[in-house]
Amino acid sequence: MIALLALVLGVVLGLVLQPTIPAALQPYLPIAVVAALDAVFGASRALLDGIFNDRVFVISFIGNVLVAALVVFLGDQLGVGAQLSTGVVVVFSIRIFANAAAIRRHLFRG
Amino acid sequence: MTPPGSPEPDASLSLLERLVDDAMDPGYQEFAERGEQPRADWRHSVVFAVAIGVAAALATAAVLQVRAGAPSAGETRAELTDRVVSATGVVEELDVRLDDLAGEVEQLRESALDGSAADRALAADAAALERAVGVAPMTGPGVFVTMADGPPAPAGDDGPDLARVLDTDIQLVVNGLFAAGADGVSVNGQRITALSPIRSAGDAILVGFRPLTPPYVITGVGEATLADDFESGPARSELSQLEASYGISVGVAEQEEATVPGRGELVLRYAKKGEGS
Repeated sequence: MIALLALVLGVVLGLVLQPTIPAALQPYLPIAVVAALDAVFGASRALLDGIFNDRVFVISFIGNVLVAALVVFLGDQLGVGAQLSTGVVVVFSIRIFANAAAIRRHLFRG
Repeated sequence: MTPPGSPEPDASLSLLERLVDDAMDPGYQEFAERGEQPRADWRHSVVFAVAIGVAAALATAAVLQVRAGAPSAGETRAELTDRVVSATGVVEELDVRLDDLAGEVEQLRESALDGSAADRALAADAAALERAVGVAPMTGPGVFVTMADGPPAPAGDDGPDLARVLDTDIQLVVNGLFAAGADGVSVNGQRITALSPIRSAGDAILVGFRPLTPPYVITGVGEATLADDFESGPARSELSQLEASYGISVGVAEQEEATVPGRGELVLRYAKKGEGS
């Protein structure tokens, strides 16, 4: 319930504040979003498993976003930014799907 | 090579499997196995909610960014269109100016070559040459050849569209008209000179580097016998074949008086400015 409220609040905040991302960081925004989504899905699953731990979550959330951005940044410097972005997105997408499947099993079993 | 049924899966497969098995951050499992008690429930919820809020705000920002960028593609397109239109306008203006200047040059030449009989003979020569090379417009008995694409191929037919008029078809008619004795030929109002290429670029046919729009009207001006000569020439029979086999529509009409425009530009390649007088 709280999570849902936070989701709505986040969207509203994004719409109202219209945060402008510095041009230099713009290429990393989509990657950061996917990484954050992955962390959130992982946490949802842990929550349902009853093993949620806020420390792990905060670290995985920030770590995911930073590492994903760093990898893409490095790729950009090496001239393979597009390929590395694709790789990052594929890996996170697979994880998101796997977590979503686990969450679904939880919800329908309960 | 691993025999079938081997417990060792393919390396790439194990990579995928690990990806799916470790989808949840392994840290959660580790902490749970170490027996560390999860903290009070409400704090979990708050941290989780804040993270979801941040993720949602991030996602919203990203979406807004993408949508803000989208109209810029349309703007680029509009700007390019504007540039093409304005450039076309400039070309038209220059064309008008070219015609004006050509008229002026002609007047100046006429007034300059108005003295002796030799001068007048020179002027007549120049006029005849201008008609021949296509600088001056010509009027006389002629023939109109109209060509248009045949009915389009039925939907789902992936083969080449055979009912289209090709650049070689236009060339065929132009060459046929010259062979029948035409003195001047124009295609859709563009005079054909020795320097006018007829070629295709993509789907368009270019004459003198300008695209044509169908239907194609090829005008020939020459002697009174031009139409008959063209009708009995080899080009005409080939046209009939195009008509019969591919459905291209071809019309040949004799005209008592037809006009082909001049090209209006003459580049001096060898002539040099004279000395004295």
